[in-house]
Amino acid sequence: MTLAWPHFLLLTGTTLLAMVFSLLPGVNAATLAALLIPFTFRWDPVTLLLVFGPLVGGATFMGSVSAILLNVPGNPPNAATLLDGHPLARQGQAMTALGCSAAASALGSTFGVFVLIALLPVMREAVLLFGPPEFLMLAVLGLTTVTAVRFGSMVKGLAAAGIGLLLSFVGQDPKTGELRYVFGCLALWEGLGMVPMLIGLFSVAEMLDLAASGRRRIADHEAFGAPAGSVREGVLSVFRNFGLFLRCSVLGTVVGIIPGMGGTVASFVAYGHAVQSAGADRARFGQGDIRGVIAPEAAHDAKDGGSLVPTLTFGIPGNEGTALLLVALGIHGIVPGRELMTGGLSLVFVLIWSLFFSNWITSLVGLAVARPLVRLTLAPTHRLVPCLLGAAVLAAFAAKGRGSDVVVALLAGVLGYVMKRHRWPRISLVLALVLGRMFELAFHQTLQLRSLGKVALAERPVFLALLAVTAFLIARPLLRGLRRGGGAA
Amino acid sequence: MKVRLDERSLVTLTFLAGAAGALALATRMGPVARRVPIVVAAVTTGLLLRQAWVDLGGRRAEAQAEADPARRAREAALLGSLAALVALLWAFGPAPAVTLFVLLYLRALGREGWPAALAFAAGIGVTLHAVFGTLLGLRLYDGRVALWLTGHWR
Repeated sequence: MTLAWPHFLLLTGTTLLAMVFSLLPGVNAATLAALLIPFTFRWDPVTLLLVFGPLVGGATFMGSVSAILLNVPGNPPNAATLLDGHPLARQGQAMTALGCSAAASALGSTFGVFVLIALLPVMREAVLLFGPPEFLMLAVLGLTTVTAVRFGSMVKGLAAAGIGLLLSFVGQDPKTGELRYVFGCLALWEGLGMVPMLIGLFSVAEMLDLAASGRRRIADHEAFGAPAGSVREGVLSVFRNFGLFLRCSVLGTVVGIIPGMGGTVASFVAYGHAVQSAGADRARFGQGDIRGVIAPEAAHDAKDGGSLVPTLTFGIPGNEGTALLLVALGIHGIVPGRELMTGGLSLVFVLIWSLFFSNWITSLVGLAVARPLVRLTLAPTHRLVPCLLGAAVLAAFAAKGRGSDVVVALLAGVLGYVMKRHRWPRISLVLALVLGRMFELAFHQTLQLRSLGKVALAERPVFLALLAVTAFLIARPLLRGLRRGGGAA
Repeated sequence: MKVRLDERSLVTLTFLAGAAGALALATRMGPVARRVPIVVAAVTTGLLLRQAWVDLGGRRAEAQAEADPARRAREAALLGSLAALVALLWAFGPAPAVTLFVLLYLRALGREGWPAALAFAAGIGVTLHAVFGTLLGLRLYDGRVALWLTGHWR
C-alpha cells in the first residue's frame, strides 16, 4: 500500500518538505507537522499516516548536514554529531562525515523499525517493565558516561557535569513546586530551555570561537577545489565499526521506548558510550573521530522506531513528533491501544513503512545535494558568522516565542566559548543538563514508592540489570586508574 | 607555593564562586527541594576547589591556551556585539534586530562595503520574515520602540 503510485508520491513530497525544515536551525519536521494538522481534517487515515511517517522522524539526517558543515545543529539531537562531524569537515573530510551520517542514519532507523515490528506482539509488557526506579538507573547510567567523555582531566569532567546538574535544577522543584535559582525572574520558572541552551553551548559558542580565531574560512583548506572526502569511505566506516553501530542502535531504540527521553538523550548517551568503549583509543574524539558521528546518528534514528512503541500501545508520546501524531490520530478517531494493534494493524504498518522509506529517501537525496552544500565550508567567515549567529538567535526565539530564551542562548554561548577555550568538556555539562531533571524526578518518585512499600528494588530485574551495568562502568576506569598508579589531574 | 593567577585560574575561580553560591542558596530551600541540589552543589564545589588548587599553583597536565592580544581584542569586540544584539532585540524585536546586527557586524567587524553589507542584511531580513514570520506566524516586531510607536507601551 505504501509503495502504490499516488501514495509514494505523497511520501516523497512530504519527505522533501521535512528535509528542508530539518536543515534549518530552530525548525524541524515537528514544526511542519504542527502546521499541517489543520489541513488533515479531510484526509483518509492512510494518507494521514503516509504524511506523518516522515514527520515523526524520517528526515533527521538533514539536521546533521547543517551540524557537520556549519557547526549549527538543525535540531537539538544533532548537537552530538557536530562534536566530531564538524572537525571532520574542517579537515576537508565533509563528504566522509556526511556519507557516514547518512548511512548510520538510514541503517539505524532500519534497526529501530525492525525492533518495533518484532516488539508488536509484546509491546504492552515491554513498556510496563519501566517505572521510576528504572528511569532513575537509566539517568545514573547516562551520567556515568561523563567519566569517559572528559577529554582530559577527570576532575574537570565531573565538575562540568556538576555544573550541568545545577543548571538543570533552575526552575520549579518537580516534587514540591518550590522555585529554585530563579532570582525573581519569571522567565526562569520553567527552567532553562533545552533548545536555547544547546543552541548557545554549541552553535553560538562555535561562532564566537570562529570569529575570535581570525580564521578566514570554516574549512582549513583554502583552495576552492580542495578534496572534501569520500562518501564511500564514510559509508564503509559504519560497517568497519559495526559493533559500535549495533550497540548504539540498541541504545537508541531502548531510549526511544521510554517516553520523554527523546533524541537528545539518545544521541549524547550513545556518544558517551562510544568514547567509553574506545578505551585507550579515544584521543581523537572531539577532533574528528568517525566513531563520534556513527554513534549519535545510529542512536538518534533508531529511537524513532522505539518511540512508536509507547505511542501506539498506550497513547504516550515519546517526543514532540509523536505527540503531534497522536493529535492527528485523535482528529480521525483513531485511538492507540488494543483496538489499533489488532483491528488497525494495517494502518500501523503504513506508518512503519512510511518512516522506513522516508529515512532512506532522506539519506540518498541528502547525499545527492550535499556536495553543493559543502561549499558553505569555504564561505568567508566574516559573512557566515553574523548570518549564523542571527539564525541561532531566531532559532532560540522560535522554540517558545520568548525573548528571554535568546538571552539564555547568548549567555550559554559565552559559557560554551569559555569552556571550549580552556578545555572544559561541554558534553559532560550537556549530558548532565539533559538527564538532570529526569534523574531528580525519578529519585523522588522512587524514594516515595519505597517509603510507601510499593516497590521492592531487589525484585525488579530491569533495575538490577541496569544497576549491574552502571556499577561495572564506574568500576572499570577506577580499577584501570589504580593499576596505572593514578591518572593525571 | 607560587600562586599563578591567569585566565585559566580566573575561569575556575568563577565556576567555584558559582557553585559555592548555589550551595549557599540550596541551604535556604525547603527540606525536599534542597535534597538533591545541596549534595550536587557540595560535591561540585569540592571538585572545583581541587581544580582551583591545580590551576593556581599545582601540577598542570594541559597546555595553557595561548595569550594573543589580537584574539583578546576580537573577543572584546564580539562581547560588545552580543550586548548590542540584546539591546537591539529589546528595542526592535527579533527580525529587525537580527537584520541590523548583520548589517552592523559586516560593516564594523567584517569591514564589508555598504552595498554588500546592505544586500546581505536585506536578504537575511527577507528570509527571516518569510520563514519565521509568514510561515511560522511568530511575532517578530514587538520590540519596545515598535510598541511605543503604536501606543501599546507606556
